Amino acid sequence: MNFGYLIVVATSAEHNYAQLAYALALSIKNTQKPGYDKVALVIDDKSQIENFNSPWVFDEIIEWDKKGHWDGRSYMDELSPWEHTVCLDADMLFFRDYSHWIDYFIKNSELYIANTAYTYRGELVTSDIYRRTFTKNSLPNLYSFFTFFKKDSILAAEFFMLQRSIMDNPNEYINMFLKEHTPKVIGTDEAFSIAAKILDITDEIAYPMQFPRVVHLKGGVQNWPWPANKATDHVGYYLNDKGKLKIGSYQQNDIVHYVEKDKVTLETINVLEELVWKS
Amino acid sequence: MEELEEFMPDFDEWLKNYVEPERKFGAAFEPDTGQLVCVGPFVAVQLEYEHITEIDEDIAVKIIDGEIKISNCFFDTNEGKFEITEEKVLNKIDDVLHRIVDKRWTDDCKPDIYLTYNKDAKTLKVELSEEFNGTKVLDNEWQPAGKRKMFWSGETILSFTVADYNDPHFPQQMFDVKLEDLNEKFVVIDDVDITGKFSIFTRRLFKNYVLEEI
Repeated sequence: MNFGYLIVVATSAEHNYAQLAYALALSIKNTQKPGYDKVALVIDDKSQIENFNSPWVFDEIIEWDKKGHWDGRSYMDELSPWEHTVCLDADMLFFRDYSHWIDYFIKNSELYIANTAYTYRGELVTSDIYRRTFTKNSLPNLYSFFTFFKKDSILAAEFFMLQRSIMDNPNEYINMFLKEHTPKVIGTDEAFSIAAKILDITDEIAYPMQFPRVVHLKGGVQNWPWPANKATDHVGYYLNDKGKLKIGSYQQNDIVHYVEKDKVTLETINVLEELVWKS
Repeated sequence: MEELEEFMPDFDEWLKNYVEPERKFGAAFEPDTGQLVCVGPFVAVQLEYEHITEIDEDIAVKIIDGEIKISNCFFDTNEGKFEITEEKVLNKIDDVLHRIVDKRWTDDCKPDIYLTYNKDAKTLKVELSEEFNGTKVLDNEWQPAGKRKMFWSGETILSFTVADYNDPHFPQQMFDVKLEDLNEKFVVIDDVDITGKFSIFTRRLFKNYVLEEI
């Protein structure tokens, strides 16, 4: 079996995405079984990871600078060194083993894209406050933050080729698919959803499943009866020395998409590094 | 009618020579506490109060308009300076349950409250920055340290909870320190017997808290 995770980052003036990717890779090494814990990093400037204490947590490092910011994820199928890949957003952390689900995907799927998200209390996110574009335009609710694909799949190849075309030629698709609540920039999620709609493959690539369970920590989707910009203004974010995370008083056992980039500090990195070194 | 016209000034001439009277605002204060009690035109305030000081018009207008609460305004009778205190509103979880950062993980943080945990002696020393008249001498990068004026209502208490590392759900010990006890002195808490890695949480009355383990 040739399976691995893929993280695509680029230099940003606002955030240190290389450090976020490093934290995610450390958390994968800390929680996944051998054989299911490989991580490939795509980065536009390798020098950003030279100072990390354990850059070996990246099994593959691919220097690639053809696209900036998040857009590199559109090329995940071409960039991944793995036969079977799960491409993740950098601002996520793992807290338990998911090898059984990876086995399921490898056996049953060529392309699977997350289509649900959860609050820190484990409730299904129902609010569309950040996803009006999807509901107003009847697009499938896809989250690119967890995308499984098989390298030699024709289905995946067609899908990624089309979504790249959407990203590269947004105006051609906006008039047809994003008439209402048109975003200023078409992001990966929108491109994924439009591609799935055009190919009419939503039921094949985003059917209901119990996995992945990703806690989305954007403030507005926590099912709170008050408006919230940042979730951590309202609940504490506590990563202990065993690498276990509590948000408020809720222990997190699922993948956490923490969103607020300042949650990964040098101290957080140190905690995750020590756990990797001990294991 | 003709007589009246004779004494009417020429409006254009009057306007040309008009000098706007100086607007002066005054604030009355309690002589013992410095607490402001009234703000208004200087002459009017002077008629009613004995202890008054002149204040800038823009501040006076803001106080009158309610933009600045008069209860937050003080006159420092020693230095003859007018001060507005910052109103501390605790509305984020980090304000009411703030984890004090370890010195190892902070590079550019000027501490207002500094805690030193001596593992061998099992003591915790609490200090206030020299900027607030405390004993914690700031590092060279923050020198010369200016003096900041703070007014605290009543007995302000700093509450600290020693808990498991980054997990306030498992408290080990709690203690309080009166802010006035940190004025030109420090407080040492004895018998702080902490098991394993720990964090200290507090209500965030100051901006920056730093913890050092020695």
